[in-house]
Amino acid sequence: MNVLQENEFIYNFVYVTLDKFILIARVLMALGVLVYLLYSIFHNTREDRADYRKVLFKIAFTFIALVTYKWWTVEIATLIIGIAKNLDAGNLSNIYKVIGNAFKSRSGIETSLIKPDVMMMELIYWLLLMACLFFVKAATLIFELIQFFIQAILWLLGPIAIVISLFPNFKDAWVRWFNNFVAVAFWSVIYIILVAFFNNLMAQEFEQLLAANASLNLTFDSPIIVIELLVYTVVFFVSIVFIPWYTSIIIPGQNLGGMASMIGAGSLMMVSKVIAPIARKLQKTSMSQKTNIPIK
Amino acid sequence: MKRVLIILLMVFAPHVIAQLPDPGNAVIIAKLKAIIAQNQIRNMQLRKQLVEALRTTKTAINTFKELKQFHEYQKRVLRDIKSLDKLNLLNTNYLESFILNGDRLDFYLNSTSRKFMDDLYKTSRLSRSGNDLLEAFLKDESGSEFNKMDDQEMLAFIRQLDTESSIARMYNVKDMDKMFAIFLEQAKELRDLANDSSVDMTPAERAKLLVIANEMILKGHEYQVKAQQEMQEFNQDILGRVYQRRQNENLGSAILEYSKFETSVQKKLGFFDSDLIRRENIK
Repeated sequence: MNVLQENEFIYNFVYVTLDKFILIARVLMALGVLVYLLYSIFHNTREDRADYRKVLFKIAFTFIALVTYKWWTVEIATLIIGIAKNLDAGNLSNIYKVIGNAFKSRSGIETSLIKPDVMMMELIYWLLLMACLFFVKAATLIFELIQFFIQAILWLLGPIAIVISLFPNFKDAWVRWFNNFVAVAFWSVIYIILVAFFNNLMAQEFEQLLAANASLNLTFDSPIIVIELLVYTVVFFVSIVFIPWYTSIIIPGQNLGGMASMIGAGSLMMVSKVIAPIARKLQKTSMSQKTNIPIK
Repeated sequence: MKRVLIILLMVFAPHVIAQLPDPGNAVIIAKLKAIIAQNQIRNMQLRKQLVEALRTTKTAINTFKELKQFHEYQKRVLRDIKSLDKLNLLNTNYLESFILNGDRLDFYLNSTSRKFMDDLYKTSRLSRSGNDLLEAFLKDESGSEFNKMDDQEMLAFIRQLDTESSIARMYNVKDMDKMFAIFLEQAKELRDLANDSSVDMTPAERAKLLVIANEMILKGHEYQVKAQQEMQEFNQDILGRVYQRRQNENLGSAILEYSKFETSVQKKLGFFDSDLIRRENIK
């Protein structure tokens, strides 16, 4: 899937949209600072009332994070990629090598012309092998596509997640976004380890097949090996596609589905919490006007 | 002698033969047919045995060759060790040769290295000749080159393809050709007899002989046609096998090339593993 990584259009598009999102985030930042200050002033309970050093620190921290956003995100992501590439033991090409050699060794061996049942067996056997390859390739393709686009979308949403954390009830937004960002980068580490593990397993099976092929005992031993191979490939497929689920065990708090619901619920809560005190005061003033009681 | 016997039969037997029933329905002929059928089955069994024997002999020959090769190498190594024992560096001639050739393996293991190089050359030549044969055969799609081959060349070619059953089939074709030749000879003899004026025969008998000769020729022709058909099928089979072999080799090499391509291209992981990502330096 190096086609996506070499596509200039996608990267240009992402950069342009990221610049736009950062502009929006700057505007939101000004609003957020105001809301944050208001919230810290008008909050009812004394325990939650903000310490002003804390407030200033948070505002300064978000500002710096927004300004240096393009730098630190790329650094973290590339660091995790470096870890993954150090663990890279081998590619899936070992399987291709074994199959290629099998094809070459099969040339000139005649079995199929006399026995139709053997011919059928061979046909099924090669079809199953091709199915194995297809499954392995499909799993890697699906995984790489998902990872690429989720990572891009997360990177675009980052500045807004940072700025939104200034608003009340969105305190977790930045942390959650960061968890997701690290977890999605961490998928590739688990992916590399799993691929190396299954590559070894499958290469062993393929070598057994090659030996059976050379000694012409192909029809009697091969079905068991091929069934084993199929089981391995199905397990490989499932384990690769469910990598996001494993990372949710390792890195708690990353939940891509929860992000949207959190934003929806949080915005409602924020509206109610920010507007409610103001509304209450407005109500009091209106009541005082009606009863002509002066406000202290 | 044969002719005399036939003449005697023709002179004395006609009256006896005329009173006999139709020989086509005779018990003896039916028995003969059964015997011939049995023989054919036996021939088939023999062919199968031949194929098995070929297979076993192949393995036996291979093991024998390996053992022989091993023995020869052993002998040569022993010879080399003996020559090394005799090496006396105090002798100036030996010393000179040691100084000149001391860094070469040939100097220490002279005969073994020579044997090894010989074997290498032989194997390379064998493989080359096999490839040449295949290419020469594949140039003609109709397999006319195959028909031009001698019997030994053809056998060698088929053995290269590892097809024992095809050898058995070829023997079958050869048998059919032989049958055709036998029928033709018999027909010729009968015709000569019919045209021979020195023999005393009625014209009806001569006509009968000619008719029998013609029938024999027709039968022989049938066998010839069968043999030709078998040969054509055989050629097609061989061609198909060669085609399949080449296809397999091509597929295998294609898959290997793909694997090479996969190893050469470094895998990219995710969105950030790209050259198009701009890394910013903050000082």
